[in-house]
Amino acid sequence: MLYVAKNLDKKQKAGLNSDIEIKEFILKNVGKDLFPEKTAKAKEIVASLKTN
Amino acid sequence: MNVNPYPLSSDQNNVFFVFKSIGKSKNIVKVIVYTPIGGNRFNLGFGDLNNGEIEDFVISNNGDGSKVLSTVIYSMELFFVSHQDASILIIGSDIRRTKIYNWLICRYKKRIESKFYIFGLLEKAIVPFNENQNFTGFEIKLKPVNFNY
Repeated sequence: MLYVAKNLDKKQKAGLNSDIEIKEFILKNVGKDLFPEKTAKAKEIVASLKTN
Repeated sequence: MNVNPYPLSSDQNNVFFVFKSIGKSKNIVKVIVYTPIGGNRFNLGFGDLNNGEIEDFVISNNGDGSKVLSTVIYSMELFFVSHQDASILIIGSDIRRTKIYNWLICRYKKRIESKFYIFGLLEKAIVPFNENQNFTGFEIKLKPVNFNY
């Protein structure tokens, strides 16, 4: 299910929802880690904070 | 910074956001993802969608930096609607990008601090953000909301 953030008027919502590229991209990729290198780096930093 | 954000599409958990940057020369689809990294921390991933691939090293120079930043801040506000007790980690994909984030936080500190606590990451510590240190990353937490009746 797709959600459009609040504070948009009807025209903006319609325009955004009709964008197939965006819609498909979200549906296909939600829940995936699209930035694995950054995630790994962040985990490393957090782990180093915990050990110190 | 009173620039209106771009309209955002999001998933139902408010961790995955997509918007279109409409710039001087091109339109770019931008993706913001908050990925859980343990505890109650989420890492902010941000990049351009180009032919189905994410590019997080590119500097777009699309002439709408303030509007893009305003949109990222707006996505944080929406993220915290669903994750009030979480924190967001912001780490640049390289040193140059981290320095840009540092500069942006300094520039828009007042607006960010109106809603969030900002912390800076040092090699072995997290301290309240200040403009005189070079941080390796940043952590954002939601400030408690004050209701004035």
